[in-house]
Amino acid sequence: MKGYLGLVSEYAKVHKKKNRLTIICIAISVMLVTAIFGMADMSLKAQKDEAIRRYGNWHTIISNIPLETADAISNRKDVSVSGFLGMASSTTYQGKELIIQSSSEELAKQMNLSVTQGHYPVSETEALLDRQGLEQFGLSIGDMIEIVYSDGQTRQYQISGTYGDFSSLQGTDAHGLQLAEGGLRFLPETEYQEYNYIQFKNGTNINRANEEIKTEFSLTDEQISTNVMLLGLMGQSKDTTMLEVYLTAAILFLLVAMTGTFMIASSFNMSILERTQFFGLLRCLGATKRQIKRYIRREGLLYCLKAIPVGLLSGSVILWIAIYVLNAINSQYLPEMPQFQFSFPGILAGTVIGVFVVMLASSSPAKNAAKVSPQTAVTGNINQTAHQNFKKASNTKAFHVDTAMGLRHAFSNRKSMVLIAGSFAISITLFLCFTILITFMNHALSPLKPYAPDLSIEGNAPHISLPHSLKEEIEQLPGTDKVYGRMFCTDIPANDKKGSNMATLVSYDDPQFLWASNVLISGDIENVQNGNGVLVDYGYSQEFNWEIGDIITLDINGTTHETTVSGIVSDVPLDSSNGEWIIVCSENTFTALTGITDYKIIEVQANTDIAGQIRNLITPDMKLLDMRQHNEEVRTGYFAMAVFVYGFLIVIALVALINIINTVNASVSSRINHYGVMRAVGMSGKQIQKVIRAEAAAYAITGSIAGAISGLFLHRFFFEMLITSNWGQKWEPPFLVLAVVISAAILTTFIAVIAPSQKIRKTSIVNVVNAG
Amino acid sequence: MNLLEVNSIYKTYGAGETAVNALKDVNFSVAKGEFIAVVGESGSGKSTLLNMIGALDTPTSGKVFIDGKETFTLEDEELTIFRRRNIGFIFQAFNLIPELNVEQNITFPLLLDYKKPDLAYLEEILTVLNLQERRYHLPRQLSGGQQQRVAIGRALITRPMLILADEPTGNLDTQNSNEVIALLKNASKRYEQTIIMITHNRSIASTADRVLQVSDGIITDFGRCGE
Repeated sequence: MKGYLGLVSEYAKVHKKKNRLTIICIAISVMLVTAIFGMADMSLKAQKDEAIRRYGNWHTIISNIPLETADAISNRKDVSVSGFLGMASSTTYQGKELIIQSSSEELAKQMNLSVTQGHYPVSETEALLDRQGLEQFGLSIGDMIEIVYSDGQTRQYQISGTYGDFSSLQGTDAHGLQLAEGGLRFLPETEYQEYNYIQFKNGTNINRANEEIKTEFSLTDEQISTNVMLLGLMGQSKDTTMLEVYLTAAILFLLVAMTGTFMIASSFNMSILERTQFFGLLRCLGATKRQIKRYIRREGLLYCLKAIPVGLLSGSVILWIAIYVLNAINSQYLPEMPQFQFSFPGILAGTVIGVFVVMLASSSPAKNAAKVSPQTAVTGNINQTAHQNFKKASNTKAFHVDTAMGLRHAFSNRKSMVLIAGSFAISITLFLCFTILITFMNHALSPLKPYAPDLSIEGNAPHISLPHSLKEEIEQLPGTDKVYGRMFCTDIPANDKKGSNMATLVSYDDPQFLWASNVLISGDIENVQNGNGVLVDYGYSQEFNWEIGDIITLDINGTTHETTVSGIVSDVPLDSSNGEWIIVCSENTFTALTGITDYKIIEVQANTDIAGQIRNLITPDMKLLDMRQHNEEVRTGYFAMAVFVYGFLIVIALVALINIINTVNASVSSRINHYGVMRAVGMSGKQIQKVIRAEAAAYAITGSIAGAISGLFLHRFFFEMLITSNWGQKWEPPFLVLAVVISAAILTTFIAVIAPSQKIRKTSIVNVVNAG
Repeated sequence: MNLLEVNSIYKTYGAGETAVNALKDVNFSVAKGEFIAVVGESGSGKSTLLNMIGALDTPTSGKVFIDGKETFTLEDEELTIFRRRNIGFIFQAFNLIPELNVEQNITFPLLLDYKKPDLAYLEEILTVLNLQERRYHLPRQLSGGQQQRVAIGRALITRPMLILADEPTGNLDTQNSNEVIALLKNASKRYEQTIIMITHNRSIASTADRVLQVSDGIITDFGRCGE
């Protein structure tokens, strides 16, 4: 030992167990911050990748500018890629919609068009055709394709290659022809549109760059638009919704930082308090107040050196688990994330918060410890230690002595109570606030519904209907899982008890009734499936005050029919575009009411690729919409966010629970001598457990009440900002989540008491009573 | 009949070459109402002996009977209850409960039994110990002598048959020491209690019914003072 500060490491060697609790506490706080910040960072990366995949890697679009302006913009230092993307007016080829675009190869690449075979068009007479187009039109690379444009001009192109599938094309049974840049300029201006797409270099202030471009080239606001989603994820959006999201994120991360701060501060405070006597002894032996402060700061640094790397590593391990899960459930649509990577913002936040809070937390107990008089230490009387400096006696009239003492322990030191209950409260608040992200995610990225089809068959025109026999034929195909059709009757004048409206009557068959039964809120599916009743959406029932048994009259072809509301479901797979009522009935009821027997749409869920076989069954006036890639992309997009949102919640819950266990442990450790004395004078093990339980319950209940109040307040604030303002959903107090969270906190508290109580029973009484 | 019987108690700390024999084949018995002083050098094994009698510690071998009951065969919970009802402890370091006031500290063993104290007896103890005016004070508001008197009150409240006192005057000045010893002796006579007290104070030891000397873990019974 070179100086008195060497005692810090010597003390740590001897009191490994005591130090471990503080180190664990700092480590889990750092882990929380590292994991949450790291996951947020990765989530942003994943969302950015997803936004680029969906909408392309561009930042700004400028319309109606001459070539010279486009060249000048392209020559700016901050522009990475720019070029014109041309789009021709709607064109068909062999009866199918053909989307014709033109751009440079580089811009096409940024718009996610990747040439899978052949080469990108280099001349005006070359074109790329999508893979399914080649297959369906029976063409090969090198063949000629003749296109009749909307103005009647005919052009021939040699197919130079093909490119990967786009869900937007498959989902509409359309195909795409890609030409070289400027390949549409032969058309009259009314027959095509050209937009200048710009991708800026990394680090560019895009809003400022756009302003500069606007001023320099005298452009109007209408000529410039931005990729709101991508800019939002890059933190560069000025959009009000995005600014609200930023504010929410900032407050949530402030809460995370506060949780870490409270946890470390309370643990550190306890560790210092229990050693008041030790510091008094140092004072007695000649240490100055300043030296005591230095000692505690050095100790804090030592804790940091041990705890922060553990916290950073465990936070990173959580991040790696999240990345592993994301990669495991990710299909080919998102770029795979490198597994073992460190998140710089996560590591930085964890380190800064760890060091900063330990230093901050050590300054206050350091002052208190320095105040301990040398006499306090040498009298050796535990009554004099600061930790047990009780100002009021326990209330043994209202409670049993064990409970009363536990409560007195909890409430005697206001600072400890604020820090411990505060850390419980912030954890609860944090959990409640983060649950809003699930609602946000479910609104922003609709999860795939169980009834989402892989393939849909529709008529090319509204009057075309699909016979029942087609459905039966598809059902016979091997690899078919579920086939279900819907008949529609639109523009029906309808009346309910309050007034009139237009209605759309829709038929369900068995698979759809099965799904409906899973979302049934009230009523009975049976009366609809096998009777004359109808199903309505919960939203309408709320809006029009419909109840089970209400009558809705439908005026179909001049005849008035009465239908009875027999079921209310939370979800129907159709949106009413003009506010009309969507009314669902069985096929028999539908035909009886309308006389219609044929479907408007047949949908298929399949285990294997049966698109080709279905194409052979349908007539040219029908189209087959292939939704598989779209579904997969929806799933991927949803998972990319869900992994992190649920990851946040799991980490917060885990950390909150570890914090409770650690706090109870630390609190007991700090009073271990005290409990020894109580045992010596006749307190039984069960009673000691009651004392600890009462103390822990006081923290948990106070923390839960404070957490519930602040949590509900902030939950409402965030909900209204993020959800109500965007989707209109009204805030409701999340009582169920709150009940679960509080129950978990209290249950954990009670479980946390068991181990320390057993530890006390095993501790020798003799050492305690004689040591004083 | 003897209230306390100590049979062949051995207590060894550590093992092998570092083993320390704190008590070696200790045998003695104490009759009801006796006042025993235990004397000996520091580290001779006095406190270890007292801890064994009070069942705060377990011997390596041997048996202790209190009122015919073999204490070390009792389960932990049973032993705790037996201890708080039948043995009163007075420690050198007082070991009062800081969050309880004087009255609560004195009645603590009863409160642990969820029993209401006999108010007349409580008043009597407070009067005898001269603590009436301090009954609602917390330990930190009392002097050392007052704290030790509270500890004595706590040891008396259950009317235990045995009081074990480990240097109860060790932290007190002469006047307070004399007061405390007088109180203890009076109380034990009044309530027919047996007292075993460790002391370094020769004059206190001289007032005992019997003196036991502990030296290197071996006990020697000097019998009644003056014998």
